Amino acid sequence: MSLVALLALMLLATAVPDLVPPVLSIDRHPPDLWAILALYLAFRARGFRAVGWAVLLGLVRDCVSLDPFGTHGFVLGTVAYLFCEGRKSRGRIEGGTRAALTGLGVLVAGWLYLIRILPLGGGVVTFGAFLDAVPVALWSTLMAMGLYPVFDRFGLFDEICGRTHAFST
Amino acid sequence: MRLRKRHAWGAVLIVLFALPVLKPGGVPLLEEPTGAFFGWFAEITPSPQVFTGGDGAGDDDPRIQELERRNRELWNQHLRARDQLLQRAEVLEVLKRGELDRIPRGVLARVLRAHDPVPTRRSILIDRGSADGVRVGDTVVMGATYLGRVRKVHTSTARVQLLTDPRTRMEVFVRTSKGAMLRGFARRVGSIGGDDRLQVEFVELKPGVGVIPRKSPVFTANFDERVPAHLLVGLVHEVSDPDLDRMPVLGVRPAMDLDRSTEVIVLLTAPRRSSAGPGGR
Repeated sequence: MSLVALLALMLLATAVPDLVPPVLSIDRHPPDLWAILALYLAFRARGFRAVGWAVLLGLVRDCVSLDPFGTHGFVLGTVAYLFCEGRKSRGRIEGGTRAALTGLGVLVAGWLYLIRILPLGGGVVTFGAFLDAVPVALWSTLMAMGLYPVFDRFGLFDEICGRTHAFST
Repeated sequence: MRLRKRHAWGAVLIVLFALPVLKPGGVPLLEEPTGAFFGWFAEITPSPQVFTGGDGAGDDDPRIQELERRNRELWNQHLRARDQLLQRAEVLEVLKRGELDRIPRGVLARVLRAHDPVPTRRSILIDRGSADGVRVGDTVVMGATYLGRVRKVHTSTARVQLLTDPRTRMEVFVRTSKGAMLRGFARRVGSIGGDDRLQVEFVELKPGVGVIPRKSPVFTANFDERVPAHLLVGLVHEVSDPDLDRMPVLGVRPAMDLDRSTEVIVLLTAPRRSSAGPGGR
């Protein structure tokens, strides 16, 4: 179930930049569904389990984009590594905290990508390129605020997150 | 146990950081099937639509709805056919003007995805791949307008790096007021008001060649045998002070408009068997 949902959302993620409307320049700064997924897994999964799935997401993204293999595997993997539960149990992250962390995570992913492509001859990374990551983070946060409750409601990724049982109160 | 996992994932991330540098060619064994699968999905769910108006939502009569659907299909086919003819004629004119030894064969392709999955990159996915003779490095045009070059090829799809991609560098010609063609180097400088902009540098204004006025056309140069010269790249919209060092920096608005059509032409430069002209499939 989780794997099918993950695959379906990856297919959707490749189409999102084409599907967003051209109002408010959203089409120029489309929400980053890949990072949204990686962050959801990081918030939800136990321990470091999310890192592997985020790396997988990133590697698939590398296969369908122009970037060399490993670029987004590193970026999304690092973001999941930074935002995952880690060694200590921290309970469930929800609501405004999760939305804020999602925005921050997408922003970190955008900036990390810009730093990552520097040794690959990606040209001069300007200050404007770093600023461009802000609207992407903003739209991504809004998208995540709509998607995350759906993921929670149907427990779409509970299997791969190691959350086969509901949280106790 | 968890401490070891943390270290293991850290090591994996370090390997991933080094991977694009150590293997810039990628891992075709993994990339090819994954890219082909996602390309197949894009083929069955193409995003850009030529005409989507009049969905007949107000009519409950199934016959009217069916006729409207058929009408939309025919209208789309008509628009596509007309656009294909126009594009073929435009590109043929440019290629003939280039006095090439051999006119490259053109393959019509449909744009399946007009954006790259990465927000900062600029690429399109087309429905032609290695099975159609498309190779990495082939030029993609929309009529006489240069779009970019093929960077990734799968069996039935290919990803094209656009002119406006941050990593595109190309040699161009700029036409002056006296008709002289000056060589320069174009690269993307960012987006202003939602539109991508290019910058052309190292244009040497020698005495007697005239000036570069606004709206001067910028064309592809003959820097690569696989990119025909004189394809339109864009129009100059800003010129820095040429008296500073006689090498003005030009701001260029790209001529490509992906909203204009969902059809593009891939110019195949590989040796061919038949002698079909541009547009032959």
